[in-house]
Amino acid sequence: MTLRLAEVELEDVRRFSGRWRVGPFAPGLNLLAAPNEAGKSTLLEAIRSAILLPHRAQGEEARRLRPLAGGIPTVTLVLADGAGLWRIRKRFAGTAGRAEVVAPDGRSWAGDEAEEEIRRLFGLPPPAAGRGPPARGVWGALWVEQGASLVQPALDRAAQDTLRGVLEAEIDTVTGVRGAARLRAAIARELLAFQTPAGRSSAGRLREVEDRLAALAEEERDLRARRDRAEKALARLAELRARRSARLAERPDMQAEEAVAQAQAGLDALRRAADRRGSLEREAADAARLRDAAAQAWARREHDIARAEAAARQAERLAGNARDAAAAAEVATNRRLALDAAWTAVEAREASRQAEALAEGMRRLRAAEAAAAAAPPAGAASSTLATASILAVIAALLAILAALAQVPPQAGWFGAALALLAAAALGLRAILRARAAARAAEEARRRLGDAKAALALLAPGEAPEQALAAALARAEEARNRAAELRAEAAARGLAIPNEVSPAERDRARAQAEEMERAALRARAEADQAEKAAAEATRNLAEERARDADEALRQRLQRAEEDLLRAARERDANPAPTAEEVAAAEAELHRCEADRKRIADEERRLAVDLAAAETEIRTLEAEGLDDRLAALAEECEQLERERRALERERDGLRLLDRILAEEEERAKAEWVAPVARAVGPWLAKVLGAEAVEIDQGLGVVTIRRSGRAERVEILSAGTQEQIAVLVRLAFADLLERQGKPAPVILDDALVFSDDARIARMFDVLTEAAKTLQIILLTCREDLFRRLPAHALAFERLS
Amino acid sequence: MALRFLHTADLQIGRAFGFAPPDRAALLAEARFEALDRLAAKARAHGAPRVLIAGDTFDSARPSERTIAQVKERLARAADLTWHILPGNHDPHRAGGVWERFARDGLPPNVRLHLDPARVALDTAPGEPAAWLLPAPLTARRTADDPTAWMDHAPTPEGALRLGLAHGSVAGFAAEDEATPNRIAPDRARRAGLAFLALGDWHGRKRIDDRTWYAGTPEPDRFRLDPEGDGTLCVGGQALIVAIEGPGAPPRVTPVDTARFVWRRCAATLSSADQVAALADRLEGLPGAADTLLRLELSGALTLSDHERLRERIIRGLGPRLAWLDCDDGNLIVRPEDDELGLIDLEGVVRRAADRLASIARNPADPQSETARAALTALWRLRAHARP
Repeated sequence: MTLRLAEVELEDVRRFSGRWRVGPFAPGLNLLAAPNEAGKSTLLEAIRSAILLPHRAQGEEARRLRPLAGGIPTVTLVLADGAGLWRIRKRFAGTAGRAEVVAPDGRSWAGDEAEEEIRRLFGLPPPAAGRGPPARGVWGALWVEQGASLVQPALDRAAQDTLRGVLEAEIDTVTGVRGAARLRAAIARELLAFQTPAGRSSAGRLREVEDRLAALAEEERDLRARRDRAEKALARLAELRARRSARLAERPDMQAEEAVAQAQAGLDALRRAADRRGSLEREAADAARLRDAAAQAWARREHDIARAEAAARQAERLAGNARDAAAAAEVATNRRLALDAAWTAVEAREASRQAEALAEGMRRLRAAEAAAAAAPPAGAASSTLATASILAVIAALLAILAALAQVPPQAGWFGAALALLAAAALGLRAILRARAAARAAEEARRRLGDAKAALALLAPGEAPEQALAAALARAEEARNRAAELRAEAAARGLAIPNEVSPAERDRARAQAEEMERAALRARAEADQAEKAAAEATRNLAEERARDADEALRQRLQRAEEDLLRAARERDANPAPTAEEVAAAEAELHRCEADRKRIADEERRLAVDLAAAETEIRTLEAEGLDDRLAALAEECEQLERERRALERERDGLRLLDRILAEEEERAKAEWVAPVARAVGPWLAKVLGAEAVEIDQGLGVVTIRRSGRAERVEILSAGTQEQIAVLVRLAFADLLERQGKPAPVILDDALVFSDDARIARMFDVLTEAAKTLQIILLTCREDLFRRLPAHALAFERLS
Repeated sequence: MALRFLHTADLQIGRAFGFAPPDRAALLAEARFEALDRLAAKARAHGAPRVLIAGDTFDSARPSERTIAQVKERLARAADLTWHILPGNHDPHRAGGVWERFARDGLPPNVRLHLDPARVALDTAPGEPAAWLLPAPLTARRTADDPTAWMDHAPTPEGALRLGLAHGSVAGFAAEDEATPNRIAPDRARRAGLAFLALGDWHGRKRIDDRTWYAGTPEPDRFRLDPEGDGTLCVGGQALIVAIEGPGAPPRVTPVDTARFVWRRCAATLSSADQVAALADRLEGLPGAADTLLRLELSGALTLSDHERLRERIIRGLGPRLAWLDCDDGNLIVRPEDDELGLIDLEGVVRRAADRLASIARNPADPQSETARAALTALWRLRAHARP
């Protein structure tokens, strides 16, 4: 028999001043019907405090217990189990509070030990730290104060734990949930060897294997890439070596060298031909120049000959001219001579006459002189005039000389000229003298003739004697002169005219001079031509002495032959065309390019070979195939290991999943006792065919007439009935697990209609067969029909 | 005095054994280098002054520089022996290939590379009959033609022994590969008048006729069963000492052991505790566990408890004692018994889970049956947690 409430004693608790008792309680249904404010709720609070409120509590809960009339609130509970009575007594005096528990066997606990024993008896958790109200645990569900019975109990943590423990204990024998939980914990630990706690990624050896496989796959890719490279390098090496062998057999370099040499030879030949042509052209040009020089020399010679001949002819002609002029000059000279002679005779006569006149005059003069001794001599003027005349003649002669000096003197001609000059000078002098004598005589005569006084004029400044002497002298001289000229003319066979006019004489003189000059000129020209001809002839002779005409002609002929030959030679060797040279050069370039290309290929081949060998050496050094083979084997082995590990992991996962599913099924069975407990009562009270209980141990839906109805939409009265029945069910479960579970309902079921409350009473009555149920109500009439043990407050002191 | 030589092939040096754990892989790789020393020792012990390697000295056409240098070093070290080496299909001769690299810095004086199919006079010791070697090197991994065909018409001096050295499969004999390249006429020795045709390629020792032999690999390298073995031994591990008295005389062929590691492969179908115990007894009885590599291929169906027993005795018990245990139990099925389910729990959540898993596991059509078996194995292992 589990713990049941037997009696409650209150002392100085709120409205209860002094000691009061309620009880003894019946094991089943108890009813305390009392009016409002009779202390029903205080009773419930006192019972709850005796069990849940620590004896030294000072908070609101403790203060609420304090009596109106003063004193220290003390609550005593008497509980009964199969062994006897338990007595719990708490005195709420703040820090001075006391607690005491006395067991049926007489053992007793006090203070905190008493509290501990109370917690043990009622399955309560240790007190929470802090000053909050103590956890009510399942008693919050079973001891229901006024108004709280309208809804299903909100289970606190302690209540849940208690009920869960009760339910697990209830169902463990059939479900083995605890074993499954331990197994799942072990599986979770084992799974940690395969995966992270959340199970999202692999861990442990499996992770290692996966990572290693990934690394191997990566390495394999790398190795395969390098192996491909090595394979390609090997293929390239083989190909390069084959090419090198082929080259060694074919020797394209030598062929190219030969082709270059041939092309070079072709080009050289063309260049030599061009050079030869050039030299032939130069030779032909030289020959042409030589031929031209020879032709020019010959032409020059011909010209020289012609010129010499022309000069000779000219000299000859001019010599003739000179001779003619000389002859003409001689004629003129002769005439002048004749005329001069004639004139001189005239003059002599004149002078004689003058002298006679003078003598006459002198005589007269002397007469006059005697008369006029002071008469001026007449001779001064004549003398002066004579002097001037002479100077003029000299000047004229000098002019002639100067004119003559311009012509190179020629022996014969020069002598003649000098003679002519002398003659002229003589003539001139004679002329001058004659003129002066005449003038003087005339003067004298005039003077003598004019007047006796004029005798002075005939011999001015001069003594007339002297003047007479002079005139006589002059006449003499003129006669001499005339004689000379006559003699000369006679020598020349010239006839001298008797009379001559001065004009005639002057004309003759001018003519003679003119003719003499012409003769001189002609002579000079002839001399010059003579000289030129002589020069030309001499030059020609000199040229011929150097190069005879024949030699020149032969030279020209040879030059022409040479030119002909050179031209023929040149024409026989035509210059290569620009196209031919360009083609040969292009060929050479092509051959050289070929040679270079082949040499480049050779070098490239050597470089490529070295590169391929180096690459192979580098790539092969690590043993790619061995590594790849090892890698493949390791992969295979690791894959096998991974499969095994995954199998093991999947096995654990599956085991865990199935255990979880079975656990879930068992959990559904946990609430089955609640459903089993409450179901028949709900059927009885509400006509429910089925009920759904959630994990919070509340009724969620009831099924009536095949229709599910959610509890929260039901009426307040119906909800309260369900709430009360659920609490009864909890108590039933606790009871079945041997835990004390008295149910106290304060003012419950007040909203129930008559039919319902009757059915509720039936249920309560039936439940009370195993449960202690204490109903507190102010509705005595309503509960009168309930077959319950009646309780009342009883004052003790 | 007979002409003597040691015939070997398929050393596959450079093989990296990536499938084995790294420390074991290193040991296996090293053992292949050491095979050269062991071959030299065997040749000396049997008075053979020369070794003929019939191809596949290296595992690949691209061994590392270290691998090449190590091989050269070990060959040179056996200065009293002459090594005649033939390129095989794993290490064919090609431009820039392994043999060019091998010869790059000069060959050891006691090493002859046979890179051309051209007869070579064997430098015989005084008293040995004159002999000519007719090598048939491979220049590619696969060749369509018979590389030994030319031997028929290769002239050698009258009275000289003719020794063929070739690598490939002999037509008409079971070869390792389906499509058989490098095919060698089975009667080549007779046709070409060979005193002996030393062949490589097949990793197990194999006699084709009196004068035609495969030496097999001197150090096994894979879990391939030897048809002449005891059903667990893998192929290879020997070389041949060949002695020929003179022209016309049949060769005397003596196999000698050369392997360091014993490779075994064991397939077992298990369905009962007795079979598990018998297998464990048998494996534990194998000699030389420390140098044994064992591949265990398990199939069948075991109860949860028998499966646990198998793990206890073989995987956890024998495994660490071996050089390596490679256990493939992918085909071994766990077969939960009802009373085993009862041992897990009699009822409740765990038992219901076990029942569901067992039902999935027992239905081979269910895609989750394998996972369910793994789950049951785990549940069996963890079953102590189910009940306090």
